[in-house]
Amino acid sequence: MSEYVNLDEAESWLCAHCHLPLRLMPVQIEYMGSGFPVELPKCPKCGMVYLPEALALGKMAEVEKALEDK
Amino acid sequence: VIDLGCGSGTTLQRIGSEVKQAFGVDRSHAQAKSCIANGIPAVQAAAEMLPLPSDLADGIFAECVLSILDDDRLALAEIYRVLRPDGKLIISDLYFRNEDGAADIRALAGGPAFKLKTQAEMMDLLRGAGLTLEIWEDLSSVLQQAPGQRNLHSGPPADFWRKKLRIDGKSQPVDPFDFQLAVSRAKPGYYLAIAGKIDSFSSFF
Repeated sequence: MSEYVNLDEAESWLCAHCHLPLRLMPVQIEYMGSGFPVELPKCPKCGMVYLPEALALGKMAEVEKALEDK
Repeated sequence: VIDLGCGSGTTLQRIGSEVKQAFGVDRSHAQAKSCIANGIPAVQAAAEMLPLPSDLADGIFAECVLSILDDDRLALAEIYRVLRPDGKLIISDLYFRNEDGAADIRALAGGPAFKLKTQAEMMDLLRGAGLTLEIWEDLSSVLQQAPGQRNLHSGPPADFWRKKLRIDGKSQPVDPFDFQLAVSRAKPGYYLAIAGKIDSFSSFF
């Protein structure tokens, strides 16, 4: 399990729909048949996940490219 | 012909009619017993210490065995001893196709629990045991066969490699994205190889 956002930062975000603070929770990201168990801020009510820009444009983009190149 | 790590005897059943005499060796008592129950001769022993005379076998199979042994060098010394001078070792196993990426994935997976090798490392290992590679064939395509066909794994490729490389259950969690990137670089695959004895080799064992 990896942490990409610290607890304080995660809980400083509010879910736009439910108006609840997000919580760091286990999230399973899947892409092209591969699963990535990570810990990300998630709305405890509706399950909306906040994906930090640095992760989306960094490692996740690299992984997407690596999987697509196969 | 001997099948090292014979399991329940699938290979022995397949080659049984083709050779004069074949038997299995497995470190698991249950596996050796299940072979015997199926009429396949087998003994329980570790590949690193074979209870067999020297110069016995024309062929030794090691299918997905060398990469999971405690001591592959010792096992190869035993294989060398038990093989006849013109005997052949037939290996199939998982390996790293990209030498540059192998270091990355080892750094993530951690040391001794993790033993997959590159082709060059396998050649060195064999040479150190007095064996020389005669045939090397990449069979990685069998890892990507469609579901339902005879297959080495099922489920997503990352899950397969995470299990094979013993990533889960490590005390230090491995970042799944870093792991996928390392797998993409190392390009783990599957090979078949045949090795024979080097004529002039004198073993230290």
